[in-house]
Amino acid sequence: MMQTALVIEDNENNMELITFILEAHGYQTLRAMTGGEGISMALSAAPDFVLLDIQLPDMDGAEALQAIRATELGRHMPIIAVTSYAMSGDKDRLLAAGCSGYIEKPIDPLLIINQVQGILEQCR
Amino acid sequence: MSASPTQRWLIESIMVMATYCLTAYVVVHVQAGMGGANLLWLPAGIALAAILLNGSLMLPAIFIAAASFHFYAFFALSSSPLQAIAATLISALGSTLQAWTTAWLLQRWIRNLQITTVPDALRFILCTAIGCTIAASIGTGALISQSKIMGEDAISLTWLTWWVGDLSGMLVVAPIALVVRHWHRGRREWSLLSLPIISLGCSFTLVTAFIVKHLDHNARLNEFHTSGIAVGKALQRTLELSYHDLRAVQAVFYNIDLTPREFHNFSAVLLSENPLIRALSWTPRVLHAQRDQFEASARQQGLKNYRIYDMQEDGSYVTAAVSSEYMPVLMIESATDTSAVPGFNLLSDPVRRDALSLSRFTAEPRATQPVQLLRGGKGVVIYWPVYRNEFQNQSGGRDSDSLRGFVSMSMEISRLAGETLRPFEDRNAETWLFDVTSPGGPVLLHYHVDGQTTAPTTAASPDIELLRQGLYHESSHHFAGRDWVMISRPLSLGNDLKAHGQFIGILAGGLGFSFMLALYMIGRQRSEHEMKARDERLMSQNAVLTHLARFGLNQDNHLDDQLCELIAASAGTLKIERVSIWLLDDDRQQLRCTHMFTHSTGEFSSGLVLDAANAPNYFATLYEGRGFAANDAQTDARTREFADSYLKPLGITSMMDVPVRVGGKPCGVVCHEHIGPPRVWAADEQNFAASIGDLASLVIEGDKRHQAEKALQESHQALERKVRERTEELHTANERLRQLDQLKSMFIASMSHELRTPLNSIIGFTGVVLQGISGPVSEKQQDHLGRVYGSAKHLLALITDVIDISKIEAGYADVYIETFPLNQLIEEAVATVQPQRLEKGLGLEVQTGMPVTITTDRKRLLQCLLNLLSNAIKYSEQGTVRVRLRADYEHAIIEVSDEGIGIPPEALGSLFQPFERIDTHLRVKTPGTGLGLYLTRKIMSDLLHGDISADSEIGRGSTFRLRVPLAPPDAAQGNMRKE
Repeated sequence: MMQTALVIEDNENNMELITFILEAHGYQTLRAMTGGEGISMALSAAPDFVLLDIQLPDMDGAEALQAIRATELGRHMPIIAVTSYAMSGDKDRLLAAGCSGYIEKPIDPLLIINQVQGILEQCR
Repeated sequence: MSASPTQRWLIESIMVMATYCLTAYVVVHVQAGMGGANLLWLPAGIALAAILLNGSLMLPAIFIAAASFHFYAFFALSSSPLQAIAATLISALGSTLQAWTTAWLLQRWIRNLQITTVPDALRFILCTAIGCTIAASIGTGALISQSKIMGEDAISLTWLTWWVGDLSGMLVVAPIALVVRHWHRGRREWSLLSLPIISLGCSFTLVTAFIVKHLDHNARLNEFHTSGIAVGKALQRTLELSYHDLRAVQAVFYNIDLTPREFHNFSAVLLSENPLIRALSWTPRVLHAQRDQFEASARQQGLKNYRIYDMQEDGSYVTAAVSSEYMPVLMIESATDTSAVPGFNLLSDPVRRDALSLSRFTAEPRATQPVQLLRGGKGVVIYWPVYRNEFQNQSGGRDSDSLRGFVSMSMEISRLAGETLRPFEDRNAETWLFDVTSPGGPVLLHYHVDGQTTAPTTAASPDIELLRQGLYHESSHHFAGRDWVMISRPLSLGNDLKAHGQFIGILAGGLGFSFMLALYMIGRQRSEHEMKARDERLMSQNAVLTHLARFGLNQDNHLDDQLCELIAASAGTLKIERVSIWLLDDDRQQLRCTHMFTHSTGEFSSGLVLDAANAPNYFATLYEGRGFAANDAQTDARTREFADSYLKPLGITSMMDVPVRVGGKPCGVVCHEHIGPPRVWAADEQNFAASIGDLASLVIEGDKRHQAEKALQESHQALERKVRERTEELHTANERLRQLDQLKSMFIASMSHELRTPLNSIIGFTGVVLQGISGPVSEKQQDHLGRVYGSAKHLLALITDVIDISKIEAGYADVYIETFPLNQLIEEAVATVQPQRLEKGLGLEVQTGMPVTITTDRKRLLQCLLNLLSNAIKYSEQGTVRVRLRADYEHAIIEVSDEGIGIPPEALGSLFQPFERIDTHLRVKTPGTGLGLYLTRKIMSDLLHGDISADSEIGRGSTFRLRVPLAPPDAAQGNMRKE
């Protein structure tokens, strides 16, 4: 059965790159451009995991993460944070907020799918 | 009461003249009775007093008064009016000069004419004694020139009398005048004690003087009486002696009849022994029947032409008229010629007849009334009857028939008196001798005055009762049946210098002493008053000074207020009309009045100017910084320069200046100007004024300092304001910088995101295409895309490095401190560079030894280590890369060494500069940003508090050494940003 990934990412290029790689590796993708949209989609569509960009136009990624985690559905949902290289300090904060794992930007197309799968393995 | 000075002078002069002349007149007339010597010449004292009281202006009045009086005296003495005038002028000049000199001496030697000590009194006496020599000498000189006195004794006596008279006059009047002067000056200076002293002293003096005079009078009277008694006794004795002589003669005749020769021999002895006896005679009783026989027998006995004759009333002689009996003088013995006497029938003279009758009937000796002696002056004749023996009746013969005759003795009264009154010769007395026997009244026998016997004139016979009034001595003498009374009266009891000298000496001395004592008390009182007043003044001055010092030194008060307060206080305290402050101009050639206070109006003014050219002496004093006190400013050498222009118009009489100094240099004066009668500046007043000057100096100096301080303070404040402004500016600039920094950091943050995001897309999509996920790519395309991918990666690395450096330089680099095992970090780093190392075929040797735990920013340290490792790999073509870890107590040292190309020594210095790359052949082969070592150094030094060093050998390889503290220093911890 195909797994569904919700990608919450405001940058369209990134969104395309991530979704393209995921789809190329056989994942269904849902796209959300804002935090609010992402939260509602995560709760309504119930994806198998979420790739959450930390820098969103409407809210901080951690807030979105906490909002999702606050629901019954989202409590155990794998949520992978995508962080900027420069924001290395975010890692602890995100982990504390309850993210399942994180991927650092820039996204390496050769490595990303392995990273995602590795994190999902850990969640299982 | 507003008499002009001239009017007052005129009035005073007239009063002085009147007093002088009146006193002189009274003194002359009172003392005239005392022998003419003026031992208390009060006018001399009055002249002195006039000058002491009213000053030298009284000299003309004294001269005129003295001249008029002296003229009065001299004119009576002098023969020519011209001489009198000359003598008058000379002696008046002497009196005037004497008064002036004495006053001058007194004023010079006795301070304020106050007798406060015994030496003062002695000086007083000495001054007058010296002064009195002038008039005495000049006056005596005038008398000598008039030939009024001659001889050394007379001259010295006159001089001495004059001197003593003037001196006593001065000593009496001058103290009185001074006492009056003090009394006149005001009650405060009047000692109450002096009144009783004066009254007691004067009363005592008068009483003493008059007691002395009285005692003296009595003594003289007693002496006079004694003398009188002596005289009386002498008279009595003389009379008795004569009586006895006569008795002797009578006794002889009683027994025998003497022949004229025998009588002569006998009588001559008596006469020679008793010179008072003028004549002794024998007068027989001759009956008419015996007349012729008697005359014949007398002629027989040697008396030529003897006959009995009568004396007629007119004094001529005639042959005796026929009578029952005759009493013719038969024998007479006398010192004088008595040839006419024999034959003189005594019965023819009534006076003699009376005496004879009485004697005949009483059978006792009887004296006649005074009679004109036949040869000589007035005298008395004493008759003594001689009876026949058988009829001698002891109780007094009454039988005239038994009478044989009379012996008689005549005495000249003047000689008698002259002899007996000799003790009175020096007594200055007059003596009367009366015969009071006859009921018809006393008959003056003799008058004797002042040692000179004067024959009594019957016409001028005084009333004996009148003589018995007042002082007199009386003695009664019963003599040969007659009663004589001698009355003596002193002409003037004390008519000599000695007696009056005592009296006047006591009077003058006592009065002088009383008033001197009063003066002394007044002086003491006055000096006590003065001391008390001075104490009060000092206290008030001190209070004022204290207040002024407090006020003046309070710098909150304005300078003008302070100075005005000073001069007003000085004027008020010293009671001076005008007090002003004058300050020198900058060129010191002008004094300008800055503040002037007028006491009477209470107003302040300013603006007067005094040029140095107009008052050189005054300015000279000022320049020397000396103050002065001029009691008489209009004549004082320092101030008379502007007497006409300034002092006189304003009526300023006394001035006191004290200097004002600033910085020790005289810069002005505080000027005290007194209006009214000239004033003597007391020492305490001068001190007070000096203090005012000092205060003014202090105030001015203080003000200057205050101004300077204020300026300084203002400049301080300006500076502070400026600093504050600058600080604020800096603050705003800082704020702006901070904002700019924030902007910059935001910019950097956003850049890191915004720059990387498109690059991420490029790298991402290029990677996707290269992987062939989105479809097959040709080999050529793969090659080209690979270049794109590599370039994009390089660009990303560059951007990352640049952003890192920027952040570090801007201080916005984030540091995350954590504690971790360093060995693990090294392993991770080594693992990371494993692919490149292996690619270049380099060996690896890691020496970690003991595990080291470190607390620092792990990621940054890893970044540095990776950098070094990748460099080592980059610049090596062979050999082994060695990583060595060492640690001491504080630091961990990580060495990364290679065996690569090495670094030339000259490049070692700039190794850690940005964009420095070793210029070698490897350069083209080794991709790098050129920022790696610079960034590493920056991280090490700025973020991790460590350092990096390198040493190298060309061709042998390089060693890079990181030294990191095991724990971040506490102080540095704060600098680490934790956002």
